[in-house]
Amino acid sequence: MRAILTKRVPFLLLTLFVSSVLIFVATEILPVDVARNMLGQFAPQEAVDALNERLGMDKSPLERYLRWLGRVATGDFGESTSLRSPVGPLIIKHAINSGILAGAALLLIMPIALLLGIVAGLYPNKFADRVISLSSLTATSTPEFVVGVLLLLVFAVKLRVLPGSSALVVERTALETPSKLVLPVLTLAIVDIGYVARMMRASMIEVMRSAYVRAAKLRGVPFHRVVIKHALRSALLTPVTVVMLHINWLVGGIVVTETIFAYPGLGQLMLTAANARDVALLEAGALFFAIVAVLSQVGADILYIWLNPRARMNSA
Amino acid sequence: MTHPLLQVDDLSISYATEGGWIRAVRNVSLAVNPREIFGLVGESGCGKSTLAYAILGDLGEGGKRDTGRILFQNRDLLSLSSHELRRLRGAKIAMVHQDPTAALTPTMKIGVQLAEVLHIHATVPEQRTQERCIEMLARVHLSDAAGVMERYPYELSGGQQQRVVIAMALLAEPDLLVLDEPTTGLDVTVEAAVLDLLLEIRDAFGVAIVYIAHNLGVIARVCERVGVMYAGELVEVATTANLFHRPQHPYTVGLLSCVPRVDRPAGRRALKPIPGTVPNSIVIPTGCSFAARCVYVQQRCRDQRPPLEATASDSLVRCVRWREICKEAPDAAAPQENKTINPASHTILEVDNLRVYYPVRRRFGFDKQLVKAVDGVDLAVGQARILAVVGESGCGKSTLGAAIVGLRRPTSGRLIFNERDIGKPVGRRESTVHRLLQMIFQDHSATLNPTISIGRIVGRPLRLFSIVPPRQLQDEVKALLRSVGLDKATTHRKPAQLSGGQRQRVAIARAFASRPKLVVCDEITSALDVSVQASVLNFLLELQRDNQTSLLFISHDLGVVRYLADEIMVMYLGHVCETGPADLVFDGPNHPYTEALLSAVPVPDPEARSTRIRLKGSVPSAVSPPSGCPFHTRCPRSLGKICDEEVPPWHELGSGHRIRCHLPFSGDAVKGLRTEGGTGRKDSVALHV
Amino acid sequence: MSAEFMVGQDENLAHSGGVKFTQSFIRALSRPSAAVGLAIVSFWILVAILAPLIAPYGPNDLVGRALQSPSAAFLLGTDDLGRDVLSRVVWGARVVLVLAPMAVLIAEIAGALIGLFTGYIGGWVDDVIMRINDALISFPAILLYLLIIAALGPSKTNVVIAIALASIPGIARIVRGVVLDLRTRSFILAARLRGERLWYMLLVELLPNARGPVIVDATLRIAYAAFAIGTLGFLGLGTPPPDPDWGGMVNQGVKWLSVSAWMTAVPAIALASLVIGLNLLADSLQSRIKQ
Repeated sequence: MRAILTKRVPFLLLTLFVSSVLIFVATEILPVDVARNMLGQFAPQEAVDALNERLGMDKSPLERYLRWLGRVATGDFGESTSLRSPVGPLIIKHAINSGILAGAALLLIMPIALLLGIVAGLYPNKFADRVISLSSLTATSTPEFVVGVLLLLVFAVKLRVLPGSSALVVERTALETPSKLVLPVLTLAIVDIGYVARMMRASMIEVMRSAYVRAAKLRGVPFHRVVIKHALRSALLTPVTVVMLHINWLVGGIVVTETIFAYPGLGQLMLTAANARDVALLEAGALFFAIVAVLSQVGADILYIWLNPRARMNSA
Repeated sequence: MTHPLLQVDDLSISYATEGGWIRAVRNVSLAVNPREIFGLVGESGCGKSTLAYAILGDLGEGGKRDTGRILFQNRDLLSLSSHELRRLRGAKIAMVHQDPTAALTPTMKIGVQLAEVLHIHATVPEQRTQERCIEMLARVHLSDAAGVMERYPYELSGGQQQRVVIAMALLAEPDLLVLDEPTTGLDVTVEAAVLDLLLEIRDAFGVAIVYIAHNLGVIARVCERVGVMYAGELVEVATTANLFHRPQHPYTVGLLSCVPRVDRPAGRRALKPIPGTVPNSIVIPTGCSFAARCVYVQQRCRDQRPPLEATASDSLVRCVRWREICKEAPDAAAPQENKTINPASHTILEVDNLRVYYPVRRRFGFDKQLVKAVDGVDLAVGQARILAVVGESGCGKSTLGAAIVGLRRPTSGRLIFNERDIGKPVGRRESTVHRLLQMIFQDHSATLNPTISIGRIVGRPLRLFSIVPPRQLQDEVKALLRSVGLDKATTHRKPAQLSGGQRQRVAIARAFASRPKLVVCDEITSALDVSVQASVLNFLLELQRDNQTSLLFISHDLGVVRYLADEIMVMYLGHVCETGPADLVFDGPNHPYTEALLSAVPVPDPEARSTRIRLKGSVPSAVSPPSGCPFHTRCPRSLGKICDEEVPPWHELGSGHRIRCHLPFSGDAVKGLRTEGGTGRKDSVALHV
Repeated sequence: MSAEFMVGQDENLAHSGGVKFTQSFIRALSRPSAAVGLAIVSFWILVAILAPLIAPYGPNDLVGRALQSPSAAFLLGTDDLGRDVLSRVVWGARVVLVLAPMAVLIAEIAGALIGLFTGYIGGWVDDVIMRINDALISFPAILLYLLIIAALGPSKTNVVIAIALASIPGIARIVRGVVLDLRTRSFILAARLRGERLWYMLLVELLPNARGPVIVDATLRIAYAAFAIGTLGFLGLGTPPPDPDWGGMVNQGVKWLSVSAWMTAVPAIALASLVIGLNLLADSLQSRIKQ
C-alpha cells in the first residue's frame, strides 16, 4: 500500500504543477489591465502604470509565474480586484460553503444511487430495472440548471414551501439555515444519482455474468450469498472509484446550482471572477480545484486497492 | 449390469441467438456408471460444454431443453426446482472448469471459498471445517496447505489454482464429478501430474467422472469409456481401447488420422486433415451431419439421419455404414514420402551466446531485479531446414523468437542472419532483412488487422517489397491464397468472416509472400482444433518445401514437433538442455528434462505405457534461477552437489546430438542411459550411475 | 456464453463487416427507448432546418408586450423584452444543433491524432504528453470553460473552441487506450516486422481500429456538448445577446419566474428533451457496438 502511494505522490505533484502552469497560461491570455481594474476607469494613466509596475505586471511571464508560485507557497494569494478583499480568506469561506453543499449531496446520492443500481443490475430488463434505467437516463441527461429552475418553479414560486434564494446572511453558515440547502442539494443530487446508478447497474450486470459467479452458483451457493459475498465487492469497484473521480464533474453542477440559488459558494465566486476578469481570484480558485481533483485521485486509488486485492500485487 | 449413476436420455438443447435458434445438443443419450471415468471428446462447437453445464442443471442464458431428460439417481435434473438443484450442486454433482480463474472469486481468500462449500452443504460440523479444507488441499498435493488457505487466487500458479478447484469440488464428497477441459492451458508436465491425481481421486473416493476434452491423448490416458461428439450429436460411444484401435465412425477415424503423435517418427505417416468445415449450428442438414465431409458418404447418408445404434462390440455408432467401413488402424494410412534430409548448404541463421534479460518491477525496494528469459543460447539453422525449439512456459523460447526478429532487444550475444549481423531492433534493420526474415504468431484472432481485407493483407508485402510488378499483383495474391487452400473469393473478405484455421493460413500466406529465407513460427497451431491444425501444418510444410525456406518452429507440442522438425532444441529456464537431429533426440538417450517431457505427453493410444517420470514442484522463477544446472531443483536424476553448484558441460553424442548435463553421456555409459518407454524408443536397461 | 454456440470454427459468415454494422445499427434502433431518442432528435433537427418556415417571427423581433402568457398570436408567450418565445426557441435550435456536432468533430479529429501518436510512440514522449493530458482531464470542465471564455470572450466560436479543447484530452486518452491495447497484437507486430513507417502504422493499421470506440464516444459527447452549451449559455458565457440561446434564455428568465414562467420553462424543457434524446440514442448504439 505504501509503495503505491509513494509512487503516486510524485505523479500527483507533477499533475498539480502542470495544472498551475496551465492556469497561469490561461489567465495570462486574459486581456486584462489589472491595475486599471483596481483603480477604476477614471484613474490617471501614470497611477495605473505605477501600480502595474509595483504589481510586477511588466516583467516576463516566466518571472511572474515564479513569483506567483513563490507567493502561493507562502500562502499569499493576492487581492481580489472585483471584491476588494484578500483572496485567501475569501476562497476558504466560500469553499466551506461549497463543501457543505457537495457533502450533503454526496451523502444523499451515494446510498440511493448504489442501491438503485444494484437492484437494477440484479434483475436486468425486469420492470424495476426498466423504471430505474429510464429515470436514471432522464435524470442524468437533464442539465442541472433545468432541474434547478424547474424545482425553483415548483417549490419556491408555485408552492412556496421553500426559499427561492439561498443567499446567506453574512455571518451564518449554511448548516444553521437548512431550509436554504434543500433545493440546491436536491438539484445536484437528482442529476448525479442518475449517473451513479447507471454505472452501478452496468457494473453489477457484468459481474453477475462473470464466470466465477456462475461457478459459485454451480457449487450450490445460495443467491443472496453469491451477491453479497462474491459479486458485490467486484461490482462496487468501478462505480466507487468513478465517483471519486467524479468530483470534478460535480464542480460543474456546483457552479450552476449556486448561480441559480444565489448560494455563496466557490462556484459562484469563480463565475463572478471570470466575468470580472479577476485574475488573482481566478488563479487561486482554479488552483484550489486542481488540488481537490488531485486529492480525489489519491482517494480513488486507495479505495481501488482496498477493494481489489489483485491490484496490491502490481505497483501503479 | 450396474445401475447407471447418470443417464442422459435423448437430450436436445437449443439456444436463442440473433441469427436464430442454435441446436447445440441433439438427441444425445449416454450413461455413466458409478466409479467410471467417461470421456467426452469433440472439437469446438460440438456441444460438449453445453452438455457439461446441463448435467449441472444449468442451461445458461436463453437455453431451453427441446427433448429428453438427464436422470441423476433417477431424478430429472432439468425439472428440479432451484432449491433442490442448489442442494445437489456441489454436494452430489460438482464441476471443475477449464479456466481456474473463472471458478475462483478473485476478491475472496481461498480458505473462505473452500469453507463456504462445506458450510452450505453442512456435511461437516463447524469446528472441523478448516481442518477438512486443509486435509483436502493436502490430498491434492498442494504443499503448504495452510498457507494456501490464506491466499488470494491470483497469488497461485495455474496448476495450483486448478488443484484448488479440484479440491473444492471434492470437499462435499460428490458422487459425480464433471471436468470441462481441466488441463487445457497447463504445461504438459503439470497436466500429467493433474491426470495422475484424477485417477488417484477416483480410486480413493469412488467418484464417477465425466471428463470433457478435445485432446485425444488425455482421453486415452484416463478414460474407460468415451463418447465422441460432432455438431451437437453423439456419433460414437465405445470403450477406450475399442475407440482408438477399432474406430467405427468416419469422424473418429478422421480425428485419429490427423493427430500428430510423439511416438511415431515423421515420414511414417502423413497427417490427413478432415476435408470441409463444421456445419452451421442453426441450419441443420437433413441426413447425417457429417455427410458433407465424409469420405465414405453415400446418397442414403444424406437422405436420412442415421440413428444411434448398438454395434457388435457393445458400442454405439451413428452411421449407417459402420459395418462396411474399412477399419484399419489409422496410423497405417498412406505413408508420407520419406523426407530426404539433405546436408545443409549453408547456415541461414546463427545465434551466438544470446542473452535477453529484462528488468521486472518490484513492489518494495529499488534494486532492479532481472528476468533472465534467455541465458546463453547458441543455435544454427541451415537453409531449408526446420529447427524446432521446445519447452514449457517460462523456458524462454518465445523471447528467443522475439529477439531474433528484433521485437525484443538482446542484452548480449550475436545474431547473424544471411551472413549479416542483425543485432538491431526491428525498426532499424535493413529492408532486405525485413523481407527475408518473417514471423507467424500464435494468436489467430489477432494476427490479421480486422479492418483490412484479406487481399490487401496478403498484397501488402508484395507491394512493399516489389516482389512482382504491379500488374501481376492480383494474380500473385490469388496464387498465394491458393497455395494455402483458400479460393479467390476470400480476397474480398475481412478477417472476422474467416475461421481460426483460415486466418492462420492467411498469416502463413502473408509470411511467405515476400519469399523469405527464414520464418519464425511461434506456437502457430496451439490455439487450433486438431483437425484444423493438421491442414495448417500441411500447408506450411508444402510452402516450406516449395520455397526452400528455413523454419524456426517454436512449440510446446511434442507431437507436432515430431511431425515437422529436422532438428530439435530443448529449452528450460532460458538455457538449452539438449539439441540435435529430431530422430536422435526422440530415440534417446536424453537429458533428464527431455525425458520427463517425453514421458508426460499423453499419447492417443491407451496401450501406451510411459515411464512415469513426474517432476516435483514447478518451474522456478526466472528472476532468481537456480545455480549450477537450472534443472537441478526438480531433476529426478540429480547427482547432488555437483549439479547444484557447477554449470554442466556439453556432451557430444554424435551426428550433432548434444546434451548438457553432469551425467556421463559419453562412451559406454551411453547404452545404459536409454530408458524403456511407450514412445517407440528402443528398449533398454535402467540407468546405472 | 462460450463461443461454442456460435457457428463452428471453419464456417464462413454470410455478411461482410460493413453490412453487419449497419444491421446492428438498425437493430439498435428498434428498441423502444432508441426509437424515442431518434424521434426526439429528428424532431429538433427538422425544427432547426425548417426554422425560417416554422417560426412566426424573427429571433430578435420585438413583437408584443413583455411577459405575456400564451395566446393566439404568441403560442408560447413572450419574454421580458416582448419577443415571441416560440420563435426564439425554434431559432435557438439551430445554435445547439450546429455548435455541438462541430465542437465534437474538431475534438475527435485532434484527440484521435494525439492519442494515436502518443500511444504508439510510447517512451518519454508519451509520459510527458500524458502528464499534461491528465492534468487537463483532472481539471473540472466547467473551469476550463470559464477560463477559456473569460480569456477569449463569449461568442459562438469561442464556445466551440472551449468545448473542443475541454474534450480533446478525454478523447486522446480513449484513443491512446485503444492503441495501447492494439500495440501488442500480432498484426501490429507483423507490420513492424515488415518495417512499416510510422505514418502507415498510425493511419492504416491503427486508426481504423479505433473507429468503434470513437463513434461511441462521439455520440455520447454530442449529447454532452449540447448539455454544456446549454449550461454555458445559462452562465452567461455563451452566445452573447440578443441572439437566441436556450441556456441564455433560461438565465434571463429566472428573475421573472414569479411573473411568467414561459420564457424560462420552454427553453429549459427544450434543451432537456434534446439531451435526453441524444443520450437515449447514444445508449442503444453503445450497447450494440460493444457486442
